[in-house]
Amino acid sequence: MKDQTFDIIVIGAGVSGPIIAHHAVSQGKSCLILEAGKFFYTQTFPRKEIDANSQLYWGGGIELNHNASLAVLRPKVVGGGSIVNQALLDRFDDIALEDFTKDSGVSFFNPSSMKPWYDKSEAGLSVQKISPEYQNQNARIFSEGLASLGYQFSPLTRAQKNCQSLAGNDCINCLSGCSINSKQSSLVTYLRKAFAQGLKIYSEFEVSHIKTGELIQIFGTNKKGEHLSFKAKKLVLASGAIGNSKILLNSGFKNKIPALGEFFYTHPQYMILAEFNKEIHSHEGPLQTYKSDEPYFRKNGFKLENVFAPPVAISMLLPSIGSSFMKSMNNISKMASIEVAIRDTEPGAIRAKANKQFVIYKKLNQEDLKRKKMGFEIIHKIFHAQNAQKITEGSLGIALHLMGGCRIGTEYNKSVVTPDFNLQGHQNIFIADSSIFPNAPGINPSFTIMALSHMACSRIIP
Amino acid sequence: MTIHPRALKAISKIGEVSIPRFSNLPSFSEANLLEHTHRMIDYMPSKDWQDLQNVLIILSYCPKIIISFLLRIIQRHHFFPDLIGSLLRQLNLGLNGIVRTLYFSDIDKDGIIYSELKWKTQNSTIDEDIQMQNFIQNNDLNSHLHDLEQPTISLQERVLCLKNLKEIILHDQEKIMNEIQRATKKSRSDALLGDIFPLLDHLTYLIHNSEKKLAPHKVKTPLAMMGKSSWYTLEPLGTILIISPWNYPFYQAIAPISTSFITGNATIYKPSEHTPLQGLIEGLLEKAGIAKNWFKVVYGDGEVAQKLIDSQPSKIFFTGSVATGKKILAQAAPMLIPVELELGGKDPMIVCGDVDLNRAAKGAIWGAATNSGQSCTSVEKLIIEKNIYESFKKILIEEANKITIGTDRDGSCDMGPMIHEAQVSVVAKHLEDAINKGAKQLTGFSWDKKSCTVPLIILENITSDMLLYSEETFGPLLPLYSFENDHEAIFYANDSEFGLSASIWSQDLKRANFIASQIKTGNISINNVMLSEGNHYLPFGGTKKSGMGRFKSHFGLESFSNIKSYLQDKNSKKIEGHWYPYNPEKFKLMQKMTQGLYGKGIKSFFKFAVNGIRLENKAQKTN
Repeated sequence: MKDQTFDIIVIGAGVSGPIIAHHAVSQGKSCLILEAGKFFYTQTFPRKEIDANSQLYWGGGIELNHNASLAVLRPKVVGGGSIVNQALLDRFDDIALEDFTKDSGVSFFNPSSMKPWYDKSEAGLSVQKISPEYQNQNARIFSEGLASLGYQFSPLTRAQKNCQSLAGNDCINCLSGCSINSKQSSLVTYLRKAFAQGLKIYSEFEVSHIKTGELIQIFGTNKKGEHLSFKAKKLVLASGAIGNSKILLNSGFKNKIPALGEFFYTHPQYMILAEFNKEIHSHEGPLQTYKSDEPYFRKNGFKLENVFAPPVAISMLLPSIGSSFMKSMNNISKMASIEVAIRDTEPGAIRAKANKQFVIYKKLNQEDLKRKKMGFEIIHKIFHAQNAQKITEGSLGIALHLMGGCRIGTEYNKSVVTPDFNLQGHQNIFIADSSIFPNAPGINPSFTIMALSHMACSRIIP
Repeated sequence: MTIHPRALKAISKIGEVSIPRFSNLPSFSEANLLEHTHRMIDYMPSKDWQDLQNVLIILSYCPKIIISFLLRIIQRHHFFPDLIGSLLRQLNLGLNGIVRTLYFSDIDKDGIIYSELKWKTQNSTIDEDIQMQNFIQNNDLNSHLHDLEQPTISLQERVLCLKNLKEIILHDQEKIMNEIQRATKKSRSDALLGDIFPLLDHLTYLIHNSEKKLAPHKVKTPLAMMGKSSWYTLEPLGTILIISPWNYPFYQAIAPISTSFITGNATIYKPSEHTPLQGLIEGLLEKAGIAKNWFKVVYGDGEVAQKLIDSQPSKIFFTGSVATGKKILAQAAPMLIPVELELGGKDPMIVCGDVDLNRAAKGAIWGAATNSGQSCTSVEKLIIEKNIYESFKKILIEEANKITIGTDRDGSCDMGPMIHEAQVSVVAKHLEDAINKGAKQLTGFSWDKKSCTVPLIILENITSDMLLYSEETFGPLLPLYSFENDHEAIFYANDSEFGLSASIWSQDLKRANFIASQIKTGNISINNVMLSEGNHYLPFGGTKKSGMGRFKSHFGLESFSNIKSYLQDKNSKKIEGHWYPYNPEKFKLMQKMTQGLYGKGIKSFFKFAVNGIRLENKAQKTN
């Protein structure tokens, strides 16, 4: 096992890594994925919230930003975000691509250059539009509310195969991994194909740092705490905005690449809960059905989604204790929820502290707060229009679109990754995941991560 | 990770304040969820938990009204400046996070908390699951680590597990004895005295001594190393492979497993294929809180053992025959796997003419017949002083004829039938060979040389060409020898390739101790039989072909440990006198210093000190 050498090593088995790993093994290369999380599948995903939170995320559930105002949800599991997300697929619009171009100077951020890669991503998955036929009461409140206020909305597009809605499957379950292999996570798409072609994975292996050279050496520890190292001709960092930044900071790259860890964005999300005097059962059927599709919202930098969460998460949003808290929780089946996701403009940063500790600096500036406020006002209006009895603004911001830190760009000082997906100054290290995003697009990132990863494949293995 | 009892108390208090009984929902304490706390804590970064635990410990001393006040304040974090607000938000996530996660996770199988929110899920197809299981097995380098790992809990918690285990064994002893008897046919009393009792004794030793014996040991640091400190620690070796015999299938399983566990090792245990006690050991260990992936019981024969050795455990602990011991040592040698061997014996009992005949005879009978002679420390040579030989023999025959044989359930039988047919034929062979070569059989005439029900057979007129003179019988044969002076007794005792244990009987303790000192063996009982192995504060093991290594006592703990030595110096600018560069001047100083340090008298010490200081000064300057 000592110092085994592979053609390609990929750090992170989330959305990006498996696409590149699959390409590598299909080209006859030897490839190993190192993944800090556990390897679960349908039958073994932890189902109770106590176990799902602690076993599927870093930090034993959540990590916090520097002032504990944002709960950072960072998946730690084979399949990464694609295991725990809602699998929403959205191509970037002109606004997002133009802003990416503006901040990066990279030429391919335009609809015609991106299209073949989006198409390729779509071809690798089963993609379905969620049928309004199975919408639950939560979705109905959302859509009717938006309609009554004259705002546009549209059904969500989701990476799914057969959610068995007709059989009464409740998709809230899939927040801790889909139990029917409907959700098109990396596990059931690229990893499965790649394993069949000889891909190796080392799960529960946490990479600490890398050492560059003709062969790149990767150091880390397995779950027994054994210190191991692997060597690779080429290395792909695919452990997300925080993961990639941490590994590179730990490996001493900050001196050479000053933008490392900077320009960090999260699309901060805030849920608002509304209690009604009738049963809503927001947990039933498809968890989400619609998104706001309103140019006015887009222009003002926010979007709304109809969402819900399991009881522990709901309980943590309620700013009360004792019997008033219990009264609200007792009404959980009469609760609806809408969330606002902000297209954040204030760049955060991931910075090293002493003792290999890290801080996630992330705050909202005046513009971001304005966006949040506008979103809140509209959600209040929707709930009022639907006769909600009590409206509660969630007390905690949630950060789960973790982007940037290894920004792509043409300018040396403002970027970490070149337009060829190379780490600056290193022809044999590549990054193509959300960490290269130059700013917050305001659109769910996972489909674009897939497209960029496909694009990067041909540069990594020409 | 460990959870301080006071932290649990605080969680309980916070739960009562934050989650009172409401309508038909139970309160936090009524839901009785504290035992699940570790399901969260185990996955938290240890520093985060330590910080939170410290807060909890403080809160556990606060009255509920203060906790209620604090919980209300932290909900109003946005009224405070960012620095305090940040602290309050962290407290909120920590304190409310724990109680709300416990309460609302719907841990209870029946969903008492939110039954109306229980969601419906369909199942995946079996083909897909099998495919994924195969990928985990074949493609994940982590999967080979999955089935077995070293205990992740602290020594204190490991001790707690052994306490549980002891209680469970004490409580379930009837059931366990039934299982032992089903596998071995031994008498109820042999099951109790040979398996249950010594095991409880072994566990008691570990429970009371492990924390002290496994703690770091500070040792002296010599004068020449002034200013430095030294200690050693006992750390786990990794994975211990235990291969056990069929004679004490319960004791020989849990005794070494518990030692391996308490020293922090992962354990692979292979019982004899003749007495597997299928499922019993795993069940008891798991019930005691020893997690499934900290040990593995592998059933099978020698071939299975060979495969286990090939998997390169950190150490092999084998109890059994010399022949198998040699094979194991040979297989382990090229892989440099350390092996501890507890092999056979041909244990002598020397009876001097001054003893109480009745007591010594009863001791001899028990020593030869207990567990039907199937003990490595059974008496297989009874060496009697000539002046009492005839009268002693008479009592022996009387006592032997009183022995009752059978697999009883109430303690009414002395001996059980023998366990293993192959061993019965060894006994028959030894008996026949001895008779053919002129030995005289004194008891046990009823035996047909085939049946497993072998009585105690006493023989005399033994000569050195007989098989039973040199080979281990491992059955109830008791050959008698007579001696005229002590040298003759010592010769008979030592004239064997074995050296496991021996017993010497004499009123004259000086004489007994002299004889004992001359016997090449690992264990001695004086004026008693098979008793030295009964004290778990004494090490146990053999010399010559009876094995290598020591089990039990702190030697047993050490033999399952990596003993790691530490020498600690301060970080300073000081250059050591004995480091490069060497030169004639420094050489002279070092020579004088050496003479001073190891010479005699105060003058020498002075010489050492002066030259030591000179050497040090020199070393700093040449830098």
